[in-house]
Amino acid sequence: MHITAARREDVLVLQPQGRFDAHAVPEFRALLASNRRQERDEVAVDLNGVEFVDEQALAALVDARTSLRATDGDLVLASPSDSVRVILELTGRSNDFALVPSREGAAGAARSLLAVA
Amino acid sequence: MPYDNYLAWKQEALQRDPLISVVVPCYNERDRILPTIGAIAAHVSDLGAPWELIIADDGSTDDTVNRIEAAGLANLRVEPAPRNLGKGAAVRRGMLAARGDYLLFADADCSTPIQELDKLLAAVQEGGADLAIGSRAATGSEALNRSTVRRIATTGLRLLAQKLLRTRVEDTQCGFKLFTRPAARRLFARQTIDGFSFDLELLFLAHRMGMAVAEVPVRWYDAPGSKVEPLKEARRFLRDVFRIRLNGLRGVYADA
Repeated sequence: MHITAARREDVLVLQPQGRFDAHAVPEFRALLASNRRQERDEVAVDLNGVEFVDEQALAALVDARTSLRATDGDLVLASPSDSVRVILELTGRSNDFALVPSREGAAGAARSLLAVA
Repeated sequence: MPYDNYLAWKQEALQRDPLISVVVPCYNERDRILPTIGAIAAHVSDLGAPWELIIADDGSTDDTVNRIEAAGLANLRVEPAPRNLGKGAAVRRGMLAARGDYLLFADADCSTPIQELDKLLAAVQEGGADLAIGSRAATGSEALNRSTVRRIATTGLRLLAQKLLRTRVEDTQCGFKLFTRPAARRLFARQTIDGFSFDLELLFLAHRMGMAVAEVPVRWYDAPGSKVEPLKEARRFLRDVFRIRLNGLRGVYADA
């Protein structure tokens, strides 16, 4: 698993690839911790290239969103692959996150969603 | 639209026999089974062929079965066992209950991504194999997060099994194997090993019956929380290699 981090339109975009599971959670947490702002940060996790996500990785995403919200920020999931979309649905996590459907302009769409929230 | 294919599969029970059956053996997998089902359902539905998913539960004592049934998937069914009988018994039960023309069994931790099914299907449909087996040893395979102990143990056992059972297969134990229906019926009806090494017996039988076996390189991840205990399983594997050899000498497989 390799996760990239980049800031686009002021939104921190984290992009895991392939299998996003418990093995990748420490890398995800470390990247988030080293790239996020302490206050009012907006994060989009681009899941377009993820073909499998397990319960531990989903829990890490929930923890991250909770932590960001505690400092007036937020986290959205951008362009989830069909596999991720179905996994979110079956595990009952679909309603835990705001989903941004399109990969293109994910940062801008994330900003809009976050502004509404 | 791929997601629409999944929705149709989820909501509408098949009115004819499936082309593909996917069998997943599981035992106390409450935390892992739903993501695995999701990944399988999304990809196989996207292939556009009628298919069914069978969860061969091996006597789970947690709420694995309840969680699966609560998902409400029209073309998924659970084949339960009265008690924990072993992975081999669970796979056999699922494979003998399957109705597809092509029957895959895949591990519950999704250690081989379901996308690799496409390669196995090609080997059977276009390559004419009776069974296509995922391989972590074949050129082009990719095994990640695999411990050194597991790597060494696997290589040693593989060489021993090849020598004693005269199989040509490099990786007998990858939990990702596809069979034509006739091959599955012949092999699983003769399977005697209920535990971890059942794959070895199937491949021994396939060789004995002159079936065409395609070994296909696949990606494989050592999934977190694996229930495989390398040393314990190595001992069982060794015992089963000798048991299969002995079965052969005693005529247990005489009709094979």
